[in-house]
Amino acid sequence: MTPLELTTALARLLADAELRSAFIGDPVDVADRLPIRDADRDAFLSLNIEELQRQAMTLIDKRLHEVGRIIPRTMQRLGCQARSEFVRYANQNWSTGHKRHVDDATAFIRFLMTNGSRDSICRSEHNWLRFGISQRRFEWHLVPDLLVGKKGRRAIQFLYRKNDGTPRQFALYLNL
Amino acid sequence: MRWIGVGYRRELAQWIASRPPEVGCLEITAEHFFDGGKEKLSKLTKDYPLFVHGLGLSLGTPGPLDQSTLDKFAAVVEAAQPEWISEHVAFTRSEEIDLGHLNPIPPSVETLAVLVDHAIEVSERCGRTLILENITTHLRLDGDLSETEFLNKLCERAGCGLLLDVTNLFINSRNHKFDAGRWLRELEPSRIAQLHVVGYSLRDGYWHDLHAEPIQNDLFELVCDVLNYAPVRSVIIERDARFPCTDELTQDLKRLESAFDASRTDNSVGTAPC
Repeated sequence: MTPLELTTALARLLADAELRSAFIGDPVDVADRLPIRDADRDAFLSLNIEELQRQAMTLIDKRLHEVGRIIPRTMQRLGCQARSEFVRYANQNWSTGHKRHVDDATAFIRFLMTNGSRDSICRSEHNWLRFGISQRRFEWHLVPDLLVGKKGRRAIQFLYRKNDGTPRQFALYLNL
Repeated sequence: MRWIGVGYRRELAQWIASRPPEVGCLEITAEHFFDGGKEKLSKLTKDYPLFVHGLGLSLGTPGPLDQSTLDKFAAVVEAAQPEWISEHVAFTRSEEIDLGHLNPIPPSVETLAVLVDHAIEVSERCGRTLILENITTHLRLDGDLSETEFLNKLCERAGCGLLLDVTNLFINSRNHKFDAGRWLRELEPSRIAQLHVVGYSLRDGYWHDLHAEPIQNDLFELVCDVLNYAPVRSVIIERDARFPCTDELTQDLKRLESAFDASRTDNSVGTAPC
């Protein structure tokens, strides 16, 4: 196994909560197991555990913030569980590339669907998100929760794309 | 020439389009234009001096730069025709994993070589001067250089300038208990070309860069300290949360303008290659 340099080892520690727990318990064992390149071993073993944990949580919190901007109503519905659910999801999933926040939001909704929180998902918001990353020109949905003022209403949600590809929506509200 | 402005964000687009007199320039985030928006960029180029700021080139990752990301970054630079371009002294990904946000690199001779090579490559590929930004981090890494030595050598060897994020300096100095003024004075002042600033957030006993607050007075004092120390050419307010905030931004821009006017340094004497 090729020994790891510090950046790669640090990335693993920041992304993997179980590896961090192992490091907290026995840093020498983790350094041996990875293994760490001799030149970086001292720096690796001198990592401050508390600071490492805070940095790792900051990464998750920054992702949570970005996802919260994309699916605010779903987050609002999750209420006080939003953070804990997101942490559970985020520790196992790392999106890549410059669209990572949208990918994160999409994957988080998938996570909620398969982990018993389907009712928390705002359907109109999810439709908007899916439509945005698709290539489709037009689609419509009957939804129970399109926002009017501060309330979700039943509506027919029309999603379309302008000539320059920008997604747009309009709605016919029902039972107003 | 001195420029004071804001980071361009979707939530601020309408306000910026109204050409508020306090906004003298814009910093755009390259990744926001990777998938289009070049027409919008052309419009902004006509209205404002622009700077292109990158988040994802991960200059601190050993090995070759991701060429696909660099190509996209260069295409945005081509469209924006910025005064200069900027990135971070950090890594966001390793060979195995994309962490998506900025993480510290050890201030070592070996890491310095990686950063210098990558900075030169980005600057040459884009045909623009690159300036590099200090990050905020909860995790401090030791190396064979101090952080300020590292930044001075990096600027010298890569021929780049420094984008001093004053908020990041303030936050790091509070969380890691060091003297921000002394740290500042260890930097070569002529390299400091641009500042980033936004109010800090205090949560659970630690300072954070949530980019969600107006500039607090103690932070503003540090900004003034920097403006008196270095021939800064531009200041950008980086607001990313708690919109709408145009009243707060307007007030902060006015304060910065006054501080710039009152500063003792001559901004024509910097050796930052911008």
